[in-house]
Amino acid sequence: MSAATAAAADPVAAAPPRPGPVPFLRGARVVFDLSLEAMLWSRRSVFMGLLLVVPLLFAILYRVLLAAHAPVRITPALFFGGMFGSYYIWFALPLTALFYATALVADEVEAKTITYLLTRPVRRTSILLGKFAAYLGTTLALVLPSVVLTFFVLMTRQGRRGLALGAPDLVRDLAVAALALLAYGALFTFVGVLLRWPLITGLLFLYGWEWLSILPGWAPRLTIRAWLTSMHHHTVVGEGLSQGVVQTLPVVPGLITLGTSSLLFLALAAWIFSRRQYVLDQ
Amino acid sequence: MRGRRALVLSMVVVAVGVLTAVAAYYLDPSRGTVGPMPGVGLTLPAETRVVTGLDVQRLVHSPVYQRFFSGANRPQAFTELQARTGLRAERDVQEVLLSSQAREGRTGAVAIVSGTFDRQRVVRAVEGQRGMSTRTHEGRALYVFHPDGAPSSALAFLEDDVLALGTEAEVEQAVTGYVRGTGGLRGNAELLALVQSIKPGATVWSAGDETLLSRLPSALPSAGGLPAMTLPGLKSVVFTGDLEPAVAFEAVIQTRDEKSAQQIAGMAGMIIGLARMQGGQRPEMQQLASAITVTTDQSRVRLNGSFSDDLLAALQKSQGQRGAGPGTTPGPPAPPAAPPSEPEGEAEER
Repeated sequence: MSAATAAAADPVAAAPPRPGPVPFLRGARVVFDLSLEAMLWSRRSVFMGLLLVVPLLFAILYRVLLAAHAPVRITPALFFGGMFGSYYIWFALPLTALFYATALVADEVEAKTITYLLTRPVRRTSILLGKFAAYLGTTLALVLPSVVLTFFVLMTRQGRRGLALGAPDLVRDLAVAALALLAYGALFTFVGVLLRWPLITGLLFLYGWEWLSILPGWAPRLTIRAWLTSMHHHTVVGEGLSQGVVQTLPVVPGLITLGTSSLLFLALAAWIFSRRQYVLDQ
Repeated sequence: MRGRRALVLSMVVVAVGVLTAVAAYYLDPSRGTVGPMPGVGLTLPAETRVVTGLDVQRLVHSPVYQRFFSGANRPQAFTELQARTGLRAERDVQEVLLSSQAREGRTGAVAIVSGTFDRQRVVRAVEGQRGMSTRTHEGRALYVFHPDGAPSSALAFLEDDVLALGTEAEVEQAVTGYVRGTGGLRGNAELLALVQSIKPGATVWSAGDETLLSRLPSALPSAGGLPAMTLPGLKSVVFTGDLEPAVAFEAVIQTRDEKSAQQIAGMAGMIIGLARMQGGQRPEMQQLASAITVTTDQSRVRLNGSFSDDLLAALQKSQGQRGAGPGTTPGPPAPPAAPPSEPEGEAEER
């Protein structure tokens, strides 16, 4: 029996072999490209861009109005430190992470496009990794230039000397910002995969649980904010309201804690995402 | 792909910003040196009368330090630094600049300590001190200590691995000088010229100007077999010392005129002569006197000394015997003293 005859007799065996799933990293890269486009050019980015342009506006205001026309006691370094320690760490970075990371899967569910995504020959863990990488790319692309431009507007008031003085802080602050986006992002990705309405839970976490960071004792170690606050050098412990309360936590254990927790939350998110059945409302 | 292009553009902005700031940091004048003094020394207050530099690592690794200062004889300053900041000078500190100031009838002192240490660990050690308060000055944290019955002292980080500590007002001035990049020791041209004249490379160096020396008594009373002496007018003193390969020093004293220089040289010669006279009973004193030379050059007096290892061993032995007192027989050599214990929690964290 010739091959052609055999094929005619058994059409199943004759069908071309079904392609296997796309390799893990290639799949993640494709998802990364698609998600990056969608995330960067979205209304969410416009809103977060406005949120992140606020420090820059304050910096310009400081330069133009305060520092130029009135003798002020707040130096550019102090102003930048306050801006980073208060606005970015307490407000802008967690919110940026919350709005983007909780939406990684929730947006697809809400738009009812998750089915199309999951029927592609791409592993689910690959999809999540690609989406998380796109989240990191988008948020870093928004946050880091905001920090750098704010720094330059403020510190150039003192000329080259100002830049020289602030350079170590700038490098450290950029690293802390990246770490914050990683740690909060991993946590909110997990929350986004686990819960139906992750935004509310995330807000409760940020403005409820994270206040533990200013308590005495061991409680601050259970928050992300306390570790991040200990890594930049803008908070003066023992000054003002924080007198005798806010602690300086060690850096290396902080890096280990935030790195490990990020990996753990991402692994849990990937595990849940790869097993969950998504039934869409009709 | 617009997304990737936007990402690259954003990262270019960040990279240009960081590179510019880092270039400004490394090209900053405070990274340079003035003679043997690192540029950060320029932040010392303009009222500084004497400034001393110490290469701590060369000191603690020298045979002289091992012989005279290790173990139980550890310098008190090192112990105090460790108690206050958790820093172990032998391990963490590279260089120390000590300075003394005088202004409006009160004196102050500030030291600039640089090395390789974990800023956060030092901050935690400082925060644990009793009677400590914190405030900001020029955007930098100032840790102020209020010891009972003593003037308040302070500590501030000029950089992550450079800290200033001393009397509160002087540390504040150092922070101001550092942050603004103006004022400070730049305003004391005379002392700066003295520092500039010192050749870099010495383990220890010191420069003091006229204002410091003006506080010395104008006359020394008769004591120790020496007749009463009137001190001639001094203008400045520059000192350099090395510990390896042999202990050697040079002191250059600038006087007001040639006559004063002759007087100083005469006084130094008299002291050396007295040491020689003890040579009958204590031969090491004879050697010590022979190791020091005094020369004059117009209004300048130069003292040079170089001490061999044998001489130092003899001096140490002699010191030990005198410490034991007359009539006591020297016992077996004492076991080496244990190194000072580390602060609690430090060993486990390292």
